[in-house]
Amino acid sequence: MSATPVARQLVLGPSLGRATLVLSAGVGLLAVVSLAAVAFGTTGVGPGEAATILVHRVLGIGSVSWPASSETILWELRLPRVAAGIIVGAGLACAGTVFQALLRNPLADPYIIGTAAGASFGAVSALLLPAVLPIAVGAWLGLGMIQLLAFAGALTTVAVVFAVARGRSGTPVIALLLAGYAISSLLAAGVALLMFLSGDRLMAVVTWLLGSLAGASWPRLAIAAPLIVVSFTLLLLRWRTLNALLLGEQAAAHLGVELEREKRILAGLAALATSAGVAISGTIGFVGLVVPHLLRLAFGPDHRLLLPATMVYGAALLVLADLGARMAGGIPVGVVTALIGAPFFLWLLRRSLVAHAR
Amino acid sequence: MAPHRLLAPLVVLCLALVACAGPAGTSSPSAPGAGTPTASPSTASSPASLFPLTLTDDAGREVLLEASPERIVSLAPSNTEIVCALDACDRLVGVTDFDDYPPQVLEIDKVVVAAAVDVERVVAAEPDLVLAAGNELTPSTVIAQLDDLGLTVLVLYPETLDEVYADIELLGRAVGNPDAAADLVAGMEQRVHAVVEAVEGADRPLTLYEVFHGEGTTYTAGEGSFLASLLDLAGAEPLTGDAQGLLTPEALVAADPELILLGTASYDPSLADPGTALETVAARTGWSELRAVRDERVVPYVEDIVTTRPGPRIVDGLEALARAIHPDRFDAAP
Amino acid sequence: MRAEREGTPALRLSGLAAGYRAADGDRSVLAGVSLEVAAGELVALLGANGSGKTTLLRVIGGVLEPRAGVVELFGRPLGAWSRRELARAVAVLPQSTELPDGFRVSEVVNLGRIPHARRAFAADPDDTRAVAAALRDADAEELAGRPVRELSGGERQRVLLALALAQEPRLLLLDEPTLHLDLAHQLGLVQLLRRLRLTRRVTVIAVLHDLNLAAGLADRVVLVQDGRVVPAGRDGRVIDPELARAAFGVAIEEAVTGDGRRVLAPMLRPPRP
Repeated sequence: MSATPVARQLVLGPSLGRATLVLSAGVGLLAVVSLAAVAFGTTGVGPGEAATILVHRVLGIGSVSWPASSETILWELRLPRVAAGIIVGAGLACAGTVFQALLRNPLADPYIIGTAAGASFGAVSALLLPAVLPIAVGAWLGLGMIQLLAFAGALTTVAVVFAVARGRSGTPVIALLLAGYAISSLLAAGVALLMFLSGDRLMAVVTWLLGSLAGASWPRLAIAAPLIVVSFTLLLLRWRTLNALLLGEQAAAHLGVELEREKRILAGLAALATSAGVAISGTIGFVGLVVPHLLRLAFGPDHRLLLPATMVYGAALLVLADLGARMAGGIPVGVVTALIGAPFFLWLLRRSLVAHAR
Repeated sequence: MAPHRLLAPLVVLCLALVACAGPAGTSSPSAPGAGTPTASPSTASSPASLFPLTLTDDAGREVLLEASPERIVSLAPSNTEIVCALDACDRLVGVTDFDDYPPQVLEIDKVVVAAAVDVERVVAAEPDLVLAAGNELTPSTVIAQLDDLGLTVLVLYPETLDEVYADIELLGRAVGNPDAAADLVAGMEQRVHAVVEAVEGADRPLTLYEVFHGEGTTYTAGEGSFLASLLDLAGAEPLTGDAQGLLTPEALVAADPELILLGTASYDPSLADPGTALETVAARTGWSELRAVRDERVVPYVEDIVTTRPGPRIVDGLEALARAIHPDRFDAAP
Repeated sequence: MRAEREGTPALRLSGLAAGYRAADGDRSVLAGVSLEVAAGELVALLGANGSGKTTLLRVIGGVLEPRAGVVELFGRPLGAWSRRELARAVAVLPQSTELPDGFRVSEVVNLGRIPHARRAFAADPDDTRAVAAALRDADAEELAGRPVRELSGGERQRVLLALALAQEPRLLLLDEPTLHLDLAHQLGLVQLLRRLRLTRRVTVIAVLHDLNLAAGLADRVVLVQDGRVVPAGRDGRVIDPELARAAFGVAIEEAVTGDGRRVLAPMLRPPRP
């Protein structure tokens, strides 16, 4: 059957051309930002030296003409940090997008159903525990007690929230939101109490809560990165489910979405990515909230393009923010993302209010 | 969002505890112990023969020094002062931005900026010895990171005068100058002894040393803290708070100190004048009835830095304390 | 495609009981509903508020589990259908006309293709054809490129109808489709549905509240009353006034228009006994 003239012009979603353009631009931006982040830092290892070291290390070309410290700085400090920025930024932005679709709430971020509160509680407990527990396991994995407990705390909390929110006929979204809020508040109170009792450790706790990529290292990334990548992949495949959810749960069910199962899978995968990210870098805010909104405004709400786009642009944002944070004197990266994110968010809000008023 | 809600109300706490230097606080992860060399060669004086050397630092870690360190990074002002007092100042290649003594350290590259350790700068300095501070003053995560990068890290955290002496001796061995260390310690001990003698027999006033005051909350010497022990040596009965040094208003009023030393005057110029200081303090709720206020024994104390920095000048601090508590026992300031 | 015997009803309900759980015990809305809808029929469901019409639709649509009884779709028990299979056979036009912001009409209609998706990322080659046909049948062709936020209520409903049609369903469920429509649009919908019966082989079950609309549109009208389903028609009439009165609890009079059509009208005053 030949397509009618109307059919030929029908737009069913982001075209391949458009998608390629958007994603290539994003990857290009990410590449530029990552190179800048590797090339610049608080010490004298500049772009030229960085390039020659990389070429030597990766391709084996060239002879060593730089001090060992420069190589250490580049390979052990800057590169893992940039890699962590990419992975965590992508993970948080992706998780934020998923939660916004799942919970149909524009204020949803990756932490909304308890991941931040659970991770904070776990990490702060670890910071204050004397190291009598078997850290040998953690050390072997390249993780400290802090990362392990942060990760465990985050996932446990999400599981508890789901259990609490479960009704007799499924898990209503409003129940998830409310349970997430209540349990997060409870855990936040616990964290505040621990902070009060922490004495001299307070700075360490505050720093962790503000989020930082400073502790990134290859062993840590080796554990967390696969988890995040697995989450990505499985979430990317579920773009249709996310689109269907935009119509509401009943309509999504009528389109073939197995609601209870998919809610668990989506929330579970997003929580996994978030928890792994939090374990690497603490609770960095705004990336997961603002990036999805910005990209939705720019590229539309279709998750086939939106989801991969948030990963790419989220990664670029975090790497850029970390570069800024480092150059500004080591301020926590969460501060920079807030400084970038909040004004953008306000601008978005004004724009959408004005648009709806017309 | 949870993290952002926590920050605002706890910034005050944060400031308070950062300002409260030297309380005993929570125990550090490993057993604290004064540095003792476990395998040192004989007392030969030539530096070369003292190495290789294994030392046990204040965090109980065993650290191997292959040779005399020529490039030292210090992550705390007290460490810097000890190194300089041991004649090894020219070997420092990285210090903190809080370091201010001796004056020449102001020229040295800063690797710790705004209390945050910049690991990249530490590595760029190519140190063969890094002197960290214990009890999370240098975060344990940073120490672990430096260890992982293959740097030699010594953690120092003295909580008593004897431990300061031990750390000086430890560093003396580390830099290959044990004789200078011994001399320094001997001199310090002598001066301490002189202070103790000078105040012997005097009345020991119940003394509040104000570390921080804000929003109705007062921080003083923590129970069993270094500062408390100094006050004791200086001939006072220290009024202590809890382990972190927090003193509730009720506890303050109940204790009713006879003498108040305003350590905060070291940082707040408005408290430098005794008259204004007395007025400010008397205006605080409940303070006007304290003996110290009624007797006008409120002393602006400007030597807080040396009194709370556990390095060679701690004895300067002790002397300043003694002079502030028992002015009659000392001649006019030297 | 499962082979069905000719004459297999599109829908068969027998002894259906369904309800909702409430804090103070379970409410039974439907108790013992029996109904058969033949393939290709257009059946209108009428009933008072709270009578259980929407509940019935939800059971048929597979989003509410029945407590008891048999629900068979095209000869197979409902439980034997996977959610995706069901979505390829049954489509629902909901009451609400909300549409997600940021999409164009054609993109929203394309969501109806989700149950048919076979490839991970690429679109199914049939999608364009199905969406175009759905837009045409829902009389929404000229809306195709418009952003949804610009649409009126009536236009949105046509988009949602196109979405439902894009699923290429064999059974279409309409939940009070005329609720927010003005007269012109109500009639427009009726014409649309009539045309639909000609262009597609689809069974339609529509919950309506307008007696005349139902009578004019449907092959058969049934009443949901006291938790059961009873026929509304008798003696050749699609809707019998007495039966309707029993279901709605108001007096209904029948009148004949100038051109001989029967019209039902609720009476403002109950007749004297």
